[in-house]
Amino acid sequence: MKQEARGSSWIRRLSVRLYRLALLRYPGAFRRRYGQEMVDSFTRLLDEAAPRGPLAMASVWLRVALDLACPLPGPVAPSPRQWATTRALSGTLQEAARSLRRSPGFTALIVAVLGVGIALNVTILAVVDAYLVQALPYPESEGLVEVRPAVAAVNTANSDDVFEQAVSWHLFGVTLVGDRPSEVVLGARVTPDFFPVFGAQPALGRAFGDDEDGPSVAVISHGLWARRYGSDPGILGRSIQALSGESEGGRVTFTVIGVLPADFWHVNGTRTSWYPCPRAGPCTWGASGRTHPGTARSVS
Amino acid sequence: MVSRDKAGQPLTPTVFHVLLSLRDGPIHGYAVMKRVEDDSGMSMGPGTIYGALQRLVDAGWVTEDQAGDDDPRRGRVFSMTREGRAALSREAERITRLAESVAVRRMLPDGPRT
Repeated sequence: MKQEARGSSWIRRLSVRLYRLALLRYPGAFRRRYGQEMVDSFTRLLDEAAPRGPLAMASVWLRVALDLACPLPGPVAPSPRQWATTRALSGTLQEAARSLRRSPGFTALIVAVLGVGIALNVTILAVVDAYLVQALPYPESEGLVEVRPAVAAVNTANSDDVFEQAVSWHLFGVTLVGDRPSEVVLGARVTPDFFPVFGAQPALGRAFGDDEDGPSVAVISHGLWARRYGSDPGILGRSIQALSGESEGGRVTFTVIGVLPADFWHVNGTRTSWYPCPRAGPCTWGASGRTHPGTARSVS
Repeated sequence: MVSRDKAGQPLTPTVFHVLLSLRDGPIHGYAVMKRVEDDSGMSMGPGTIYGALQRLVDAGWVTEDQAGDDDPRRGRVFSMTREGRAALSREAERITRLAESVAVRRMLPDGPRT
């Protein structure tokens, strides 16, 4: 559900930008007069279509694409000559449609080429939008940096020269077992300040304390909580059995101490459970840091 | 204002439906678009609707005003002028006459036969 909402919101933002760009095909005076209201109308059409799924959103795009392809309406009451022009234009369009029907192979090729071209453009724009235009989905994200190699974060965090806080993590697979069907989820061991660095607070329960060590406690994602545990508010304090190659004997039991908010997202959005890093084994697969205000990126 | 010679010309279907959507009082452009869709079954886009509204405002058949402070939505509201209402009535009469001329020639598949 979270991923669907994120996807819809992402498509909506991109669609509105593309539509705003498409409005350039209209005369400047018309755009200045009605452009913002047209964007608002388009956005409302999208919002109404979003709950009905991607096909409904695509139909909105088809509607506005046809609209954009047409010239602006002519006079309110055309003269006989203007009517004749309209009929001539209509005849030309009908002839074009007939010739396309006569050559279905050629028509299919053109549609395929257009489809691939549009899909490529949308993909490229989406990637550019996600990686270069949009800010990271964290509060005050301008101070967040990824640190490589990750072990440097652990060392640098102690020096306090560059980072206010630095955290690192270690990924591993966990198989949840117990009274429900087994399920493999992606887990992460994280250092204690992990959630504060990303500006996240559990929606339910709490984050890790400094004295917690190893996979005896866990914070789970909103998605896992909703999907596997039916959004049960009594999840806090529940012991959950799991299998993991990272622990001795391969079997581990952890207590759920928190559930993250639905909009928390980390790196690739697939992580569903977090555990404290054991003191004996540093977590050095990945690292991030929050720099002191004013610290230049080149320094960090 | 609309010139006298234009007053007698048939309206385009878009203009007719946009005017018809304004029959009950001032509404936003988005509401015009939805009413045209409900009335006619035609899905027009914002460009067509606002293009027609611009023509109608320039012709003096429709006025546009900023929405009041109590309106939660931004933007203009559009309302029909007396001239616009007269043009709509003339067009409705013309369409009715057309329909009647078809009916008297017994060309309607169903409906009244005179």
